[in-house]
Amino acid sequence: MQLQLDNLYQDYGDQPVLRGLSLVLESGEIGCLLGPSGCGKTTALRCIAGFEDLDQGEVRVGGMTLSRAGYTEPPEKRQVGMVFQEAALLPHLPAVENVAFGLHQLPASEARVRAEEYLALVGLAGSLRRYPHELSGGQQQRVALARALAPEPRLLLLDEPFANLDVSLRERLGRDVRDILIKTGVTALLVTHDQLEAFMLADRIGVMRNGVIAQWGTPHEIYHQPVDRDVAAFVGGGVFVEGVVQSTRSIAVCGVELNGAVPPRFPPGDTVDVLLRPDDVHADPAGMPAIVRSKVFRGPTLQCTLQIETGEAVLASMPADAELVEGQSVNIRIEPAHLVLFPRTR
Amino acid sequence: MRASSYWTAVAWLIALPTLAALTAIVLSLLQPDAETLHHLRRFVLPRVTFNTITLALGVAVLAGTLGVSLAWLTAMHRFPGQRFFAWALVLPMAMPGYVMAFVAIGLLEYSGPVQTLMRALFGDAAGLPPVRSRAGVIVVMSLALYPYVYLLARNAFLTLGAQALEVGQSLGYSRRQGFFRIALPMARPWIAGGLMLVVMETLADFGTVSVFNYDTFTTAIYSSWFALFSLSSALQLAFVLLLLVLVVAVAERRLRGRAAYTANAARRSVPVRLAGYAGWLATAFALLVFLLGFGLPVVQLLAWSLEAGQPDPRYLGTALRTLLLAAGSACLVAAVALALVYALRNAGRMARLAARIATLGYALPGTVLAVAIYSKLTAVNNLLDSAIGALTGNAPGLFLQGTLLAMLLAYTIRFLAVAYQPLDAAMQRLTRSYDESARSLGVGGWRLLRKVHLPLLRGGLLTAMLLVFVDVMKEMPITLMTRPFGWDTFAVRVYELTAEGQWEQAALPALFIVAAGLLPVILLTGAMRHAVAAR
Amino acid sequence: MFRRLLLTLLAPALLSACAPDAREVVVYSARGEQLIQPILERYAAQTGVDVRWINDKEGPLMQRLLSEDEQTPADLFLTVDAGNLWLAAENGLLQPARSQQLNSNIPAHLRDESDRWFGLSVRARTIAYSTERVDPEMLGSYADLSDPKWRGRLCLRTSKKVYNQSLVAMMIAGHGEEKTEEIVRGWVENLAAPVFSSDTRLLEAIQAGQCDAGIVNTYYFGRLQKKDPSIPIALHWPPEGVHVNVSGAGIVRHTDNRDGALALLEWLSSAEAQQEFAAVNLEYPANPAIAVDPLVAAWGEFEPDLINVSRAGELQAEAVRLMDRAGYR
Repeated sequence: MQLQLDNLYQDYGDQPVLRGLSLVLESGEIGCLLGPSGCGKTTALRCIAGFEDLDQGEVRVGGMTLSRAGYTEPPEKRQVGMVFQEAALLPHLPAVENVAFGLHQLPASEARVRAEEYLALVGLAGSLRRYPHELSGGQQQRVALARALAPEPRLLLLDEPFANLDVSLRERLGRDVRDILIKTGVTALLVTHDQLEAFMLADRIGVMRNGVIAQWGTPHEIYHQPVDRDVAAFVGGGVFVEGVVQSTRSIAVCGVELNGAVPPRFPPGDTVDVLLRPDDVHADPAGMPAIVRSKVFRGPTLQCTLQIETGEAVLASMPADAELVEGQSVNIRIEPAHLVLFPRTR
Repeated sequence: MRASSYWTAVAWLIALPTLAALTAIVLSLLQPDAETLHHLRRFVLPRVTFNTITLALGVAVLAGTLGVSLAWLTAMHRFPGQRFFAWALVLPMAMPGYVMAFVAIGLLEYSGPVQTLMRALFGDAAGLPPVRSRAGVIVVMSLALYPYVYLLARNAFLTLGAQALEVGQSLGYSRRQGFFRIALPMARPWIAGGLMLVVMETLADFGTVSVFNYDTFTTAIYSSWFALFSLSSALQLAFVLLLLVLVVAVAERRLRGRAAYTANAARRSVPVRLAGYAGWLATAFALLVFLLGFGLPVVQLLAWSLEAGQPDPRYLGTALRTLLLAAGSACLVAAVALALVYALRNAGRMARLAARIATLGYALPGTVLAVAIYSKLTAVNNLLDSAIGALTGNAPGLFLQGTLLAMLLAYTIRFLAVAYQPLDAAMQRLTRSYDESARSLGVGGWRLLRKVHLPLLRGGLLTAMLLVFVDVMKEMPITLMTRPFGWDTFAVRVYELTAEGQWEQAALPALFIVAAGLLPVILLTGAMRHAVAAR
Repeated sequence: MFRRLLLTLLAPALLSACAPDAREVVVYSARGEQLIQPILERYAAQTGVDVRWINDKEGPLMQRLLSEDEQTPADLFLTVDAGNLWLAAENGLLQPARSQQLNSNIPAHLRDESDRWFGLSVRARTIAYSTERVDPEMLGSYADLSDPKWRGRLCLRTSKKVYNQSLVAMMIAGHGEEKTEEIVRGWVENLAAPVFSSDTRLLEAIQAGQCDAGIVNTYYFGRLQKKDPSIPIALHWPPEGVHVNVSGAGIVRHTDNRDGALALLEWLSSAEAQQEFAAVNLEYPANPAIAVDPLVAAWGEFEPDLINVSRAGELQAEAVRLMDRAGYR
């Protein structure tokens, strides 16, 4: 394994920030710490980079301990690259020299060649001599990525690298960045509060809350098998509706029967909360009737709030060409890919 | 397009008085005084050229090293006494160079207490290097001038932001390497601005080099004028001096190239604690510079003023007027400099030339500039006089002469560079996106200036005012020439007393200059800390 | 509150337009402010004339007079050194003051031949020596200090000081240029230390033993002696004539108060003023009828060089070039 965080604790003043954070990232994997601001994800990243000291626990990269209580290997000795939220390019150097900046072990000519290669890799072969203020925000982040990758670090850290970019740019750059990371084979850890960014980039996501990882898994697992209501609510949309367990294979929700594995801790007859994601609800002329209460245009789809006969509201992704209006009646079918159940709280 | 030509006009308007004052120097080229020039070329120029260049280089290197290293130490580190030194290291600026020179020579000369004591202890061969030497001038002037670099560099380091250095660390540079590879290049406009001031002041200095009897271009100008009675040769030498400054300035611009300097100051850098040995070494270094540049001279001045006895009863009024003049010109000059950097921001290359000219006043020997300004003022006044006389039949005479207005104008010409450098550097960081975002919120014109630019320029503005304030307090030739009756400053007192060698009597007014310099230094460093913290 | 204070202070100065007033005399002075202030105040108190003065260095003051030309507010120009007075007269800044009183008070060699300026105090520039290390028998003229026996024992002040320029100019007047240059070269070879920027420092160097003799204005020695009466330094008067210079004054050409200026000038040459004018700086009164300060009198009588001091002005530039050539910094 390339990165191992073992039970990290860190306080900021008397405010605990990290409270026993652990995770493992295999070589070449792209991980992501996802969480709302203040959950400690950036602090975790800075501990890995060596900018913050640990109170407890250990950070190991490539099997070597880089941080533990009372010892912090200086950041410059770690061979851990970092891409910052603001590209933080050196304003007095043109792009190619910003990239070559981290290649000080190499002879100048080699460093330059390598810098040009990496700029080409991020798609900026034509902007070598541009100064940072002459580049767009997205280009600046590409340079920053090239700069962090060029020294071929043992681990790459990305701190909300797309936060300052607009949405469309974010998506395109996100895809490009994943391609680049995979191409270079680097092990990377990203920090973000944006789930789409996390899904787009990461092989494994850790959802963080109060200084610990609440769930660690693939995007699919995080989305479809959230370990608790909070993770479920934070990742992806959806609503909780009441359901009654029928058997180990089925559950009654909104007057229909849903099939799927019911965990054994919910015995038949138990009332539970069932997570219905928008993509669990499909338009179906043969399905149950529902009334459109509100809708949000999402380009290819419409995200609608629908009221079903039992009075409960569900979210649904409907085809955009359905031309729905508020108050209109539609027929739907509820068919989740996975049953996600939690004990009834209300 | 229209706004840009409007701003170009503003820049040239600001440059106009300086340009007018400089015409005499340029016109002098038309009337060469062959005999004097021949003499100067043969017996004077080779030596003073060598002296001037080595002095300027030496002071630039030493003052630059002191200023930058101390700024880096106090801005980015914690060590015993760091909070005190952070502002105390500005204080040598309040000490006029000629005063420091006199103290240094008084202490270290053969007949001074140090050598006398050493002779008493170790016999005749006291092993001290002679203080009245090239090295001696360089050290004294560097101690007097390094605060210019210190102030500007410190401001730059404080607003550098944590991220710049963290980037370096994540790319394998230690903090120390980060200093050379990141902080230093990013602070370059500030450091270069400070060095420009240091070099200009060194080239223009007359007082300090005279005490050392070290011949430079300036002393050559003086003796051509007042001893060889060749005004045209003196002005021609002044012209060469100006060319020298222009070359330095243009070289600096070229070096900077297309690079732009913006702050990444979202998060301030956390100072590094220097523990144990390293911490005390830092303290010792800061203390040494502070003592040499400020502590010892003040003690010597105190000792002298105790010897001198009763202070002159007029000193209270002098104090009030000195402070008023310094504060008034600090505000005025900073405002004009602000207008100038604004003009540059909004106008084209012609405006930059105007700025170069407008800030040349600082590089000229004070007396040359004083006379140039005074004679132009008289010419303008005569013109007004005859115009008013023709219109009203009642000519008012030389009504501008000997007014505060004339004096403030003269100070503006002299010290515009001092206010311009920190403001120009600060403006470099004020990216267009600030304007654009503010405009998009409907904030423009004066409100943009007040709500967005001024808060962001505050550090630079305060530095500018501090520098001008202290410089006006120390200024002699222009004050002597343009002051209204009774508006003597303490620098004038110092001049009058030292001209006849009465150093004991001069110590008290000199001390007042220093003490009054303390006030804004303390106020403004406090305000600057807030300004920086607020970012 | 503060604003009002500011206004009351600034308003008169910002707006002052000095209207010419017959009862007012404006003095441009290059002589130390503390040296003229008491005496001008005394004159004002006695006569009720309002005397105002501006102090500056002589060069800038003359430039100021030049540029103000006919509009100048100045009535009297007061400065040290005959060279400066000569230059002011030469540049047409002064006008003749025909006055019986002035002519009888001030000896001919201490005033301008066309009465444009008058010396008011005499300053002697002579040789000071260490009484501990120098036998007075060794001492002779200024020229003798270039003798190799003084190798490494002589101290001089910078050649940029007008006092030395005048001294050398007067030597040129006496010995001719060639001989003078030889003497100056000899001085430079005999120097024990780089030239000093003040006479006081030079005297302290003699006292401390850095050198044994030097050339100084007597009043600098007087000041030290006043502080320390046992100072082991004495003055030597060169027998062929002591170099004297003056501080003096002349009426500004474009004065609008000629009578006021003349009255003040006459008063300054009078017995009453002369005593104080010289004594305040331990100089010699220009008016020979006036007794010198006792401390000064104790230095003994001397024979002044009687060549008219205005020669110092005429030959000043030549003297400066000569010193440059001889390497006298």
